Amino acid sequence: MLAIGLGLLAIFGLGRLGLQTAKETEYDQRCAMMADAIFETLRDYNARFVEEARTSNVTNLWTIRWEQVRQEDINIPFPPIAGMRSGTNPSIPLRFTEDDVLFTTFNENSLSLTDWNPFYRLSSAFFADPSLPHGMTNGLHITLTIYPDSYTYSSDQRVFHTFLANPGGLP
Amino acid sequence: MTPPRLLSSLLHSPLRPLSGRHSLLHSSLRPLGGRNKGRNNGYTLIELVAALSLFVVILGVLMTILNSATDLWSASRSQKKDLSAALAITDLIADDLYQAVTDNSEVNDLYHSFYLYSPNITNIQPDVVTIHLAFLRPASLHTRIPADRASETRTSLDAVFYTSYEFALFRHVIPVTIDFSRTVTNGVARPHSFITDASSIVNNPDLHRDLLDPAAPPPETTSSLLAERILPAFGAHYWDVPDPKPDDVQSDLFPHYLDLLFYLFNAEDWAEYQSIFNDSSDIAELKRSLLGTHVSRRITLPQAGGSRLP
Repeated sequence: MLAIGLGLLAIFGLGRLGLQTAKETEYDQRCAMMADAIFETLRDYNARFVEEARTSNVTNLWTIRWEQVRQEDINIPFPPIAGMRSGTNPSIPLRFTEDDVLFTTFNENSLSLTDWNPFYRLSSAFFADPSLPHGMTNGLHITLTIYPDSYTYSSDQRVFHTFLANPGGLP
Repeated sequence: MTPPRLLSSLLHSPLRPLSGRHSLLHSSLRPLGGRNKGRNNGYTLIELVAALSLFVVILGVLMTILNSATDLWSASRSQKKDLSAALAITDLIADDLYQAVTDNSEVNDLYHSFYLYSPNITNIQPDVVTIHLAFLRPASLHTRIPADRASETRTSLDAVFYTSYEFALFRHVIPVTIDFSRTVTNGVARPHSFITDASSIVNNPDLHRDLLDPAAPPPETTSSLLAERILPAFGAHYWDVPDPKPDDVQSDLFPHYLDLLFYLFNAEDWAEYQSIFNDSSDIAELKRSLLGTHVSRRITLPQAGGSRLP
C-alpha cells in the first residue's frame, strides 16, 4: 500500500509540475510579448519627442515631454496585445510609477476571465551623457516588471529593461 | 466430499467464505492459516466485488486525470509551436519593414510605395488572393527573377508582398525590373508603378495553390508559405491623423507604426472554429476567443526618427 501510495503521489506530483511548467512557459512568452508591445509604444513616443525637440527652440524639450508622461500630463494609451482587452479600452493608460505601486492592465468592472489579466509596474530614470551641459539629459532607462498571475502572485515577476535616447540633430 | 454436496452448500449459503474445507481453491492456493482451520478467514464475494469496484473507480479517475493532462500538454505544445511560428513571422515582417524604402517623387498619383489592406474575415472570399502588405526594399541577391522578367533590366529594389489565400499566409519577394522599351515615357522611367507591376505576379491563385501543395514544383518566384490556418490582421497608424483608416492604407509615406495580430490554429481548433464560424451566440463567441493562439506585435518604423537602441 505504501508503494502504491507513493506511486500515486509521484504521478500527481509530476502532473502538477508539468502543468506549472507549461504555465510558466506560456507566461514567459506572454510577458515578452507584452514588454515588446509596451517598449515599441514608448519608442514610438520617443520618436515623436525627438522630432519635436529637434525642431523646437525650447531647451531640453525631450526631457520635459518624458517628465510630462511620467507625471501623467501626457497619457499614452495601453497598446493592443493579443489576449488582453486593455489595448481596446482607451480609458486604460500606460502609467509610470516610481513607487512600489502595481497597476492593473484591465478594468475591474469589466473583467474578462478568458483574457490574460496581469499587473505591471513601469519605472524610469533619466541619465545623462557626460559630455552634455549640466542638468541636461538625453537618455531614459525604463524598467518594466510584470506580475503574470495578478492577484494570486503564484508566478514570479518578469523584469524587462530598455533605453530610450535623444540623439538630437539639426532642425 | 462429493461435488453435488459442494454445489448444494454453495447454493444454500452464497455468502459463505470461500475457504476452509469447502473452498473451491486448491489447497496450495488457500489463504494461509492452518491454525484457523474451519474459521472464515478468506475473502467473501462481496469483498472481492467491492475491491474490484474500488479499483475500477480509481483506475477511471487516474485515466481521466492522465487524459486531461495529456490534452493540456498537447494543447500547450501546440500553442508553443504556434507562438514560435507567429513570432518568427512577425520578426520577418519587422526585418522587411525596417529596410523599406519609399518613392514620393510624384504625389496624388495612382501608384504608391506602401500598401496595407486588412479586410474583416467575413469579407475574405474563397479562391481570392488578398494582398495585406506591399512595399519596396533594397534588392537581395537571393531573389529569384521570374522567367518573363529575365530579359528586363533589374533595379536595386525588390517588392515585398505579404498575402493570404485560403486562410494561409505567404511572403513573396519580386525583383523590380524595368523594360525600358515599354516603360520610358518622355524619357523618364516610372518608378512609382513598381509595386503595381509586381503585384500582377503575386495576385495569382495558382501560385498560392502550388505553395500549399507539397507535391507541386517549386515556384519560379521567391515565394514561401509562412503559416496555414491563420487569421492575420494588420493596422498602420500615422501620428495625429484625425480620421485614420488603419486597415486600408495606400500611401507614399510610411506609417509611424504597425500593429499586427495573428490568430493561429492547430487542426483540431481550426475544425471547431469553422464549425462555429457563423454562430453569433454568446457561447460561440466565448468558444472562439478560447480557440487558437493569439499573437500581437507593434512595429515602430525607424524612418519615423525613433531610437532603436536596445
